[in-house]
Amino acid sequence: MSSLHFRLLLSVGRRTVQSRWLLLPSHQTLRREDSATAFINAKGARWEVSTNHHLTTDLKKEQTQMPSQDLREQLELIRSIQPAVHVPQNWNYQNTGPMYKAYMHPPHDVGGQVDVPIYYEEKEEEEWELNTYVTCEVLGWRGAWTAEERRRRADNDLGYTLYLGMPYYARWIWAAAKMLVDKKHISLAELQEKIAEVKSRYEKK
Amino acid sequence: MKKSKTSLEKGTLFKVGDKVCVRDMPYMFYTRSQLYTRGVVGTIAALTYEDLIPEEEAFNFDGRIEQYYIVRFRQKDLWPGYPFDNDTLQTECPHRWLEPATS
Repeated sequence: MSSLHFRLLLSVGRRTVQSRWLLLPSHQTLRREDSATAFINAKGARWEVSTNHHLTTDLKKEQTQMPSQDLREQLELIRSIQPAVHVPQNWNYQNTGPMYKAYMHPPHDVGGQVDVPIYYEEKEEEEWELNTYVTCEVLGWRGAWTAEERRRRADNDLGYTLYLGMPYYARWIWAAAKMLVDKKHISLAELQEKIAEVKSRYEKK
Repeated sequence: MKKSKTSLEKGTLFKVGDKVCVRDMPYMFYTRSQLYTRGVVGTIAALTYEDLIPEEEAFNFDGRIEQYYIVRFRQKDLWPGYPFDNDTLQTECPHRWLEPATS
């Protein structure tokens, strides 16, 4: 992924952080207390929210050099892709039905879901996207996976966060890499080392 | 355990007291190296044992055997604004996640 892509993701992430409170359903409208770590809902219930405040805020006043700015931004981005409201994970064990069915749902089965209108863009594939397409097809021709396995890995297995967060062909190449590791065609350590090596080669250019 | 697959010569191991930095490697799919230690300089507190690395053992991959270390960090280096000078945090890293500290 190019640095331009990363900057784009970063800016999207920051917008998400700023606007996440606007996305809450109306019955969960929150009022922010002065302390900024506690919230009160419409019914007056109050709860604390962990903000990782010590990681990401007021750092310019600090003389500490570590963790790096990059790392702090990364931690903030990770926080931004987590659910805005963490649902307590103690289900009603007598009747888990609706919640269990919601979590079980395959993320690519998007029909019938509510969404906002989306701008339709006529766009040519970029080079990395075409390369991804060819890579995945060639892996199919050589018997590494079938088309249905590719769909299962790139759509179903990713889970909602990756499925909704990654561009279309990023899901493909992610699934291809995971398949090669799962089937022991390559080792994960080998893949990670190679990505680091290529990345540093590009950074030197 | 297949010692023959050890990827490191004994001479390249870190020793107790060496300053090391946790590498900023890609971490997709699986790792046990904590994000908050990346790029932070710590000190080798102990050499523990040799074993498969997590990234390969997690996939049942018959891979490399590496030295594991206990690395000690100053809490002040990990968390900006941490109030106590003498507090430290120790965690475990295999050799591949460490590089000699340049500073």
